[in-house]
Amino acid sequence: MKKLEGATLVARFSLGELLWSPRTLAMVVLAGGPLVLALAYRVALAFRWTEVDGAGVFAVLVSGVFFPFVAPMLSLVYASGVVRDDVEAGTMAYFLTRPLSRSTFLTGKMLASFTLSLALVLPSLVLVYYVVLSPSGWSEIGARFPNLARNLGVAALGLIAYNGIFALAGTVLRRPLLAGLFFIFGWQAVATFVPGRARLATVAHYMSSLSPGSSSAGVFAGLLGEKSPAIASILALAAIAGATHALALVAFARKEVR
Amino acid sequence: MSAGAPIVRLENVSRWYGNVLGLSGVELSFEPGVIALLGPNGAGKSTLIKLVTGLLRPSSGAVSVFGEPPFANPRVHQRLGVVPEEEELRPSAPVKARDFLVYLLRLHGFPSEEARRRAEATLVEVGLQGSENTRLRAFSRGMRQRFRLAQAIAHDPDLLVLDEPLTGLDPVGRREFIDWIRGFGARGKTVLVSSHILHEVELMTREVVLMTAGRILASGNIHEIRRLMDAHPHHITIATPTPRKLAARILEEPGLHSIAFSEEAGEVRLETREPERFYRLLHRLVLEENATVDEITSPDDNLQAVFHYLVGP
Repeated sequence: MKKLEGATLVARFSLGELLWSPRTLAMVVLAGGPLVLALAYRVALAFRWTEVDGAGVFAVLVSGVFFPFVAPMLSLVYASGVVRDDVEAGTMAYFLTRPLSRSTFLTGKMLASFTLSLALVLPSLVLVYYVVLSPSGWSEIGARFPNLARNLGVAALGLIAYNGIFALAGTVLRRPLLAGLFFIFGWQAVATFVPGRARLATVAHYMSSLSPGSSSAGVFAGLLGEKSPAIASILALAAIAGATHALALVAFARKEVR
Repeated sequence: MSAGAPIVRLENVSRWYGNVLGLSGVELSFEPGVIALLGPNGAGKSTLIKLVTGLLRPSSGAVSVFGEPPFANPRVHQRLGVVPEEEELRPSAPVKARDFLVYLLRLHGFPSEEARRRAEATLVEVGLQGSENTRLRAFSRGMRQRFRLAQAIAHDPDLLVLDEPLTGLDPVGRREFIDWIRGFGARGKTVLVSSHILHEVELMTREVVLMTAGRILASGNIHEIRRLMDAHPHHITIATPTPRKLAARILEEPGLHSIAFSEEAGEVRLETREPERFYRLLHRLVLEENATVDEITSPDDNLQAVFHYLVGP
């Protein structure tokens, strides 16, 4: 079987598994969280409790909720299970005794986890964008569309980097979920806000650097410190994604099923 | 693989788990036919099976299957069917038995339609007709065991490796599995099957490898082992909703060493020096007198006794 065909087959089956797993309901709620906040903004606007413009609210939701919380959490929940789920379900031995290279198998699993996180984050971003900007009219929505498109691109880049990190954790660690939570809420939270170069070792920093909205999100912009150049940020995210996915494949190729 | 080379060969293979020795200096080779790995729990049977199926690598020595190292080797796995040691087999998603089997067959490279045809035929072959659309998570232990066999044979492998395949089966299921394993071997294929229950192995094959503490104790004809076994009573536990009734019925038969039952635990425990006669009786009780038997287990005390006899105190 060709590698691409095999990886696609595994990805399709894994996607079906993930879609119907109980965790997906929780992830839909998580991805829908910003939408609830957006609707709350609309209510506040209707009752004239706020005068903040929709673009500002969108920027805050992107840089304060989507990028630092929703995207990494979704990625963690799906990607950290690419190996662990089958070990716990007792299905790993069935898959690893099939005539499919291990790299093909894991590529399919990682593709499924990335696709699903993407499928939850991007529509949520678009919906939030529409909800908070629609009071300003279609012309405003159209005028700010490049901003949305760039945020969608940043989300996709960030998700693929997170996917690699958490898939690697899921391949080599016994408790990848705990390690991932530490990475998101421990390491990234601290490194992003401390002076120096520590922030360069986070995905959040590069996402924030690339996001067009974060500069207008006053308080966050101040806290996040100096941004990296756009090209450097794209390259850094691509390097993180490439290296972590490759390392996961190498680790999985040597993994034993005890 | 050159003509005449063994299907499976282990050359001075040892396997450590940290400081724990799982397998020590094993030299073995298997030709086509049914070969049984016999030994108590912890003897190293599962380790040996995982080495042969390429799920583990040896710490030292070399394993070859069809002339190649099996670890992560798709060429070996193309010709291999595996029933891994009993695991939950509970996919995280509510996947149906047929769909899961079709998926596994697709991983073998079968086109969609062919995979579906094979999956349906194999599910019927292992007695799971009518359960094709049942979700795997809803399967009983016995049904799961049948499914585990189905996924191992659906692609018609040349080498079938089964780790304790009879666990969780009722007497009828055990008989069917044993017949099936024998038939597979008779077709010129190779079957490597592990068990800790001698009388079951005896029904499958005459060729056994006796293991204990990670070493090969003896290999060869089962009759010699049987002779040693008969000196020790066989311990058997039967799970049943009617232990008193079943115990009373068993008591009517000769050849029993001791018997006890517990209504609370829903089980009958007995010792016999004639296990074959007893299993025939149980088979008859289930088929002809509608006795309800949920599960039969035979702890390995008797086998352990033989090992103690063979290796000394």
